[in-house]
Amino acid sequence: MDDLMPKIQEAFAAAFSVAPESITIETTPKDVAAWDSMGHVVLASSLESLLGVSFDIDEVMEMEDVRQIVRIAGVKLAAKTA
Amino acid sequence: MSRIHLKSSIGAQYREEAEELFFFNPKQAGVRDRVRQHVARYGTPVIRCREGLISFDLTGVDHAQTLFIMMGANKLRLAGMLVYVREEDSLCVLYLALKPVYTVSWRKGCLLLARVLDMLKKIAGCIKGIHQVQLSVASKDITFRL
Repeated sequence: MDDLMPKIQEAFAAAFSVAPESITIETTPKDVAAWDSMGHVVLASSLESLLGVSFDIDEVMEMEDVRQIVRIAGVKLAAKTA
Repeated sequence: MSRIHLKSSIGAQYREEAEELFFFNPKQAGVRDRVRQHVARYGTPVIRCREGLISFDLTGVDHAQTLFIMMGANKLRLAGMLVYVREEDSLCVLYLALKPVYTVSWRKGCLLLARVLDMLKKIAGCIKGIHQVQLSVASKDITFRL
């Protein structure tokens, strides 16, 4: 999980122009002003580019906060390298 | 969530609703720079009514297409709309507006948008020569390869 955080922080910085260190495992959409429905699509795209994976619609909808993003991205990357 | 339908034209009875959605959307302030860029390049968006059906045109190009996002089973309700143009092998979405009532909660808005984009990608995949969908509605472009 810790290994993934820098990439996820980078994705947030690219999507929302925020400081990477401002994103923590506790961050939710309420903490980032631009993380609305359109922002969520931008973030998903940013995560896909940085992690080299593709998320389906259900996975994108499960990404309700950073903790869930870490979990889903971890599963995805594990499946990719298996 | 109700069933979503994408329609290329809708009846004139939706005109006022569509105008309000497109031209007076409360989210518009957040994409003002992007709107300016699109107006400079593609012309001003105008609503047209032909033979009882409405659509949106861009004054600078003759190939803009509109998709109205309708929801419901029997009586369809206007939930949003998008305007796109074809640019070489890309389908470029220039404007996308959702009715505030459908984005009142974060999850509801995300679900509607994700489902609309999924449908749009399927439509784009059926158009000969289109290999990607580009979303140019937020501060950053997003490209989906098909």
